[in-house]
Amino acid sequence: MHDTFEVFVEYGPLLLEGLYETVLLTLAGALCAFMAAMVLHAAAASPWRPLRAVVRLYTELILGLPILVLLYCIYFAGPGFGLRLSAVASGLLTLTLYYSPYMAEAIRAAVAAIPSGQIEAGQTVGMGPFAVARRIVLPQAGALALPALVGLLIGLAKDTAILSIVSVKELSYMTKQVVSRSFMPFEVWAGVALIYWVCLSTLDLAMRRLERHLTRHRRLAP
Amino acid sequence: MNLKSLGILALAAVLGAGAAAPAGAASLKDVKAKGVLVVGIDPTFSPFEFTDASGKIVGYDPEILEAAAKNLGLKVEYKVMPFSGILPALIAGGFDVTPTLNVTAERAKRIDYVIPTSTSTNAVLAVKGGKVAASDIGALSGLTCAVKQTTQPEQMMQKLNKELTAAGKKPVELLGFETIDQTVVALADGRAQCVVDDKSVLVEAVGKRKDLALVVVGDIGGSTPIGWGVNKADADLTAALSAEVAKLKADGTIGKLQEKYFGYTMVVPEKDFIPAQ
Amino acid sequence: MFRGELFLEAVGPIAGAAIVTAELTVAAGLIGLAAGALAAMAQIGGGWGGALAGRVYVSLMRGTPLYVQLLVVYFGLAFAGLSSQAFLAAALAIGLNSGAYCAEILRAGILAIPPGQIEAAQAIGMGRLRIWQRVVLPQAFIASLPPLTAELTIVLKSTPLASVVAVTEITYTGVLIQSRNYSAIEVFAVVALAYIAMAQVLLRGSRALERRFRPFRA
Repeated sequence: MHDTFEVFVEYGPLLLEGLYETVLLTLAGALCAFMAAMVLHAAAASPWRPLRAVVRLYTELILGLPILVLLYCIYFAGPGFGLRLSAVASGLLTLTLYYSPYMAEAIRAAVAAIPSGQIEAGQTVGMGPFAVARRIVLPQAGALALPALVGLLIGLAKDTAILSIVSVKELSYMTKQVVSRSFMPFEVWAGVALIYWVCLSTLDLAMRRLERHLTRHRRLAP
Repeated sequence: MNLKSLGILALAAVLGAGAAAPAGAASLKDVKAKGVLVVGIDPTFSPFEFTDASGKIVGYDPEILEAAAKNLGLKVEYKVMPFSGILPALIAGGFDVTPTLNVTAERAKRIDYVIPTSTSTNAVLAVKGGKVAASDIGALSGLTCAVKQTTQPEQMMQKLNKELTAAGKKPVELLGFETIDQTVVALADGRAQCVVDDKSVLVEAVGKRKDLALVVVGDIGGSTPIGWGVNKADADLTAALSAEVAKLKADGTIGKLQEKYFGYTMVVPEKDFIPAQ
Repeated sequence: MFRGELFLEAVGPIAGAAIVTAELTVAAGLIGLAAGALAAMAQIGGGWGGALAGRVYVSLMRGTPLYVQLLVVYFGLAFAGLSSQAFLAAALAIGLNSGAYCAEILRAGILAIPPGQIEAAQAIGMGRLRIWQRVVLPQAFIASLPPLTAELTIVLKSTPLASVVAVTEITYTGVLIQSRNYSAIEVFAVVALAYIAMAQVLLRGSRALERRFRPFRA
């Protein structure tokens, strides 16, 4: 046990550097994926049929493709098609392409749960489409979609570990370095699992608080 | 025992068993009783270890290994995994032996080595007419270099980087990948300006990718012996394999295999081959 | 640029590796379902101890990357003396990971069963175990089929990570072929097609299963 502690003290700075990168990747990846999901959501509701068909095909494709394979395709096969991205950019693109259809589905389900009567009522009192979206749909759909989105955010945070395979220097990449130096694979990986768990549990807890805050009006009602 | 309690057990082990000693692989007696020598291997390192068109594992070290196993009356069973997992798995007892491992002082503290089968010199691979003019570490300062994750060449570059920073120069940025072809692709795509790894492996890559105009610029660092790693708990297995390697050296088999795979023979130390530092 | 012969060369080995992927998916899926059912039962009917154990299990599995779990289980099994069981380690790790999600799915399915049914079963003298076995679990399972089959697809998509513990499935076979002849585009085209085909098989199969069980749904 003492040895394990020493390893974490000695390589602490390296692991922290990796953790910092993991946090940045998670934030940037989640933001990009969410924006892409909004675009997908809008495109799926487009009156133009070919666009809807493309969105459906893309969604089906992603739902059947492992994220690791997507990453390999972007990083190693991409240059053959003129797509030459750095490891971090490839990683972000992978996270975005992989998570946006799932997020779009969460958004769709939440929006669908809002009674259409409310939207019609908004239109009747003279609200434009923007006002309807901002004042009626978003506040409610946001709260409804949150649990599913948080699940996806945690999934995305965990999948950043895969990016280590193409030289993104996040927490798992650094852990491999530490293992190759300390020769204590079990102890080091178990300790790093604990680091992930503490961070992600905290994130989960914070998001649940936010959800409670956003849905407080429902509990105030009789 | 149900699955959940098994899961809880595994998790309890995660949190509590940090200090326990690894169970280790089988001893020579157990290996002989099984009749199978389990070999952990990353067959993406031609000519040392690779797969042929049918997917069969071949190469310089597998051929010696299979001959040694045959003499010991054993069959060889391969467990294939990326290099970054090989040493951890060996220490955890995932297999009995792993071939093609640079001998380093750091590793020798945690695993045992069979007497070396070859020597390795690292070299710098670059694109013809690129930014890399010479293969000394000073010439690489500030450039990006692709290496295989957790390998001796990577660790050597990290050490040279310390010298660079001590001399007030910019370190080499190291990008770690899982296989040599991935490092070569990163070089060819311009995501790295050079690759550092074993020279004979790089020469092989140059031959395979004539379309890319790659060039081995020169050597970097000293040469190190390459041997097979065995779990520290299996001293008698290490001894038995060492004896077999010595026999195959003496009867000229290993020399012939060096000609076959490298095109030349090498001087390989048999004693005191573990470096002090 | 796209070299047809390299594409064709990759088809055979990857088809062979697809069998390993299929076996791993089935084994991990079954472990996940069993672990999920046990965890859901523990959380609902296992007293405070069961509830706590169930919650800790779900939290640990959901809160750590599968990549890390695989390594921990692999090295953990080695400590338990089961060191060379790569397939077992992979199936166990992926299965236990999936079990946490199955537990959440099944828990929702169990809680949706009208309490009157359980009371009725108690009234006709059924024991606790029998009630789980005859009344609660079958209905919860059928009601949860769509999310459970979606979870199985996720299990399929998790299997490439098993290569880190020496299981040579589809993706790693692709990596090995690529290392031989530098054919990223051709090889990953085959790899991607293999997964999409397998996911389609799962999708079709699950729809057939749902149709088969539809008459039993409340």
